[in-house]
Amino acid sequence: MSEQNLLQVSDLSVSVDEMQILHKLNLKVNPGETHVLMGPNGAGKSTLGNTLMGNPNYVVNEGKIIFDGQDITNLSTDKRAAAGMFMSFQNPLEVPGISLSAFIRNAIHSQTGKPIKLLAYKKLLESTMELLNMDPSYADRDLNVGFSGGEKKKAEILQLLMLSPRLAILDETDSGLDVDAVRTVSKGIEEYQKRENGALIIITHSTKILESLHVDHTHVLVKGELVASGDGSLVEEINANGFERFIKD
Amino acid sequence: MNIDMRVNELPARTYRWLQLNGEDVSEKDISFSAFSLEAVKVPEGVSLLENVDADKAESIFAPSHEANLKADEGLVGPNGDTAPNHAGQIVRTGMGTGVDSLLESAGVKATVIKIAEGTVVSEPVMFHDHLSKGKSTISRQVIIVPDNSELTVIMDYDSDADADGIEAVSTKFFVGKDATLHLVKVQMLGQKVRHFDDLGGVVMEKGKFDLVEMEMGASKSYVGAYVSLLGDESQSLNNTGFLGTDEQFYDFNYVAEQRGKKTDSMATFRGVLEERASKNWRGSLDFREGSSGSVGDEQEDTLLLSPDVINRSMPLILCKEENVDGRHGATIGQLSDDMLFYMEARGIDKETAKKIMVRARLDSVARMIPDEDLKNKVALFLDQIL
Ligand SMILES: Nc1ncnc2c1ncn2[C@@H]1O[C@H](COP(=O)(O)OP(=O)(O)O)[C@@H](O)[C@H]1O
Ligand SMILES: [Mg+2]
Repeated sequence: MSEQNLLQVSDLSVSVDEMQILHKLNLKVNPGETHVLMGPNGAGKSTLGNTLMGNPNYVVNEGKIIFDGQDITNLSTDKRAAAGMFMSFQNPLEVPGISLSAFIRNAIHSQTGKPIKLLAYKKLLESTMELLNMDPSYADRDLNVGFSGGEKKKAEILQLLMLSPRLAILDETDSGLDVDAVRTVSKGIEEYQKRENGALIIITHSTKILESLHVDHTHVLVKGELVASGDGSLVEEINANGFERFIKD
Repeated sequence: MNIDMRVNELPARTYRWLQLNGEDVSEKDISFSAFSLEAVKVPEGVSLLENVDADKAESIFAPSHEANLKADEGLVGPNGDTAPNHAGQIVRTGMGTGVDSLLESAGVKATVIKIAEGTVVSEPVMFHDHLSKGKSTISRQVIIVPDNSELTVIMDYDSDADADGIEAVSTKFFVGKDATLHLVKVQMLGQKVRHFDDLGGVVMEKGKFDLVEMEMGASKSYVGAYVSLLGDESQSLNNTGFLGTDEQFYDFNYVAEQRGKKTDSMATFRGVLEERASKNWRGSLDFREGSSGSVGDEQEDTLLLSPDVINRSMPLILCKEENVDGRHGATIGQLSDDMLFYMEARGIDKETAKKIMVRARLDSVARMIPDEDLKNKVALFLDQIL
């Protein structure tokens, strides 16, 4: 085991509702690396994301998750976030009663335990929203309530940039977005890479979101098993030929 | 004295099995030792008369009372209703006649708050009540905002943490033509106090009644408001927030009686129930004959944070006029596992997530309090409780 691994997943088996979804999965992510995770629908990609983040619906039957040298397999979700993990949700939840701005402020406060300088916070939020082409009025709207699909995904990337984690798992952040929105989101992710030397696990079906990003590794997940790995070029190949050659009978 | 009264009755009775027609209050050996709220701030232009005989203080309501009696002639029941709640009341109130009788037997004199016709007083009149351990207080106010004038009245009630008596307040208001009354009531009593808050008033042509109310403390709170929109194009706006924790009990009764043409009532009730708290809520839109073109809307938004809470609602829309629009909506919020996971994934632990949701709701009402000190006091009170 190398000291510098940010994330190390070993022999991870996971079940949901007593059904095993992930089978002995192994994965290593170093600081600043960008990994792409592809695979057909139902392969278990979101399951992996949720398990890494500690969703209690997903039960680890076997294996370990080490983050930044610490065994987090049984750590609560909020502590994983505080340790520097982040997940952009495939379906972000609507949280009535709390504004986007107040929510992020609360999240930062919870993670750092330090008081927040309001003026500086507001400025940073404004400029980050501008980067993501978000209307400033969204800051004061209830989190995700009545947001369009694209706005919800942008709000996820906004949280990513504001919380500056060390590892971000992006679960189909590009799905259902128009071309312009994908470009904007991609710009946001690039900013995160640059600003934070942030590591990424990007779950996606398309290459568009990767356009401005350098991809270090690509993994293919089929029926809960990692069946292939490669560099960035694997994404292109899958886009051209689909998953057929990875699906064994 | 002993108190036995039925309060907060619906303007029309509904199915008995729902047990929401009204609530019985029973208290033994209560002795009231204070009979008015403390006037903390009385800005220039406001006249404050204390120790006024109730009959005299409430004589302002006589003309509208006569007119209502006439309009309701021939209708069934006392005062034209099927419920006896308001028999003999010169101005109807949410809790009803029981409180009037209580005021009478306790010999409570009224405080009359009044401004001159055509004046706008922008600084609020502020009243405060602090209930000490072993004490009970009862008070009555009549607020008169004549034609073309505007006034803000703020009341807040708190107590020693271990206070264990009754804090009873009766507030009646008259809003004249083109006049506006902003009334703010904030209840932050200790967890053993029983609270009665009875409110009722009339609004004349193009007048506006604007109520902001927060109920956060006390073991049992009986709260009623009855707004009679008598004048054409008169308006009532109500924003109520409540927090029920432990075994707190709330019994609410709100009635918008819409008599004038094109009247408008809008009420929003936003609250949180956790642990073993319970709440009865009655909300009635009562469109009387002649109220054509009127609209009424009551929205409930309750967050339930424990499976042991009891949340009962009885929305009622009574309609004697064709061309009116009455609405009721209820949202029951729960903090789902998915939502908790989402918040935890951002580093917010479960307890904090709950607190954030509770605070968010109450803050949305607290924000409307037009006094910074009281706003801060509410924030501190919530910090303590949550
Ligand atoms: N919360 C859940 N409850 C029940 N089944 C689930 C749940 N999450 C995932 N699954 C099942 O696990 C499998 C993998 O799903 P998922 O991880 O969402 O796949 P992907 O993200 O690759 O499309 C699917 O068969 C799905 O039905
Ligand atoms: Mg998925």
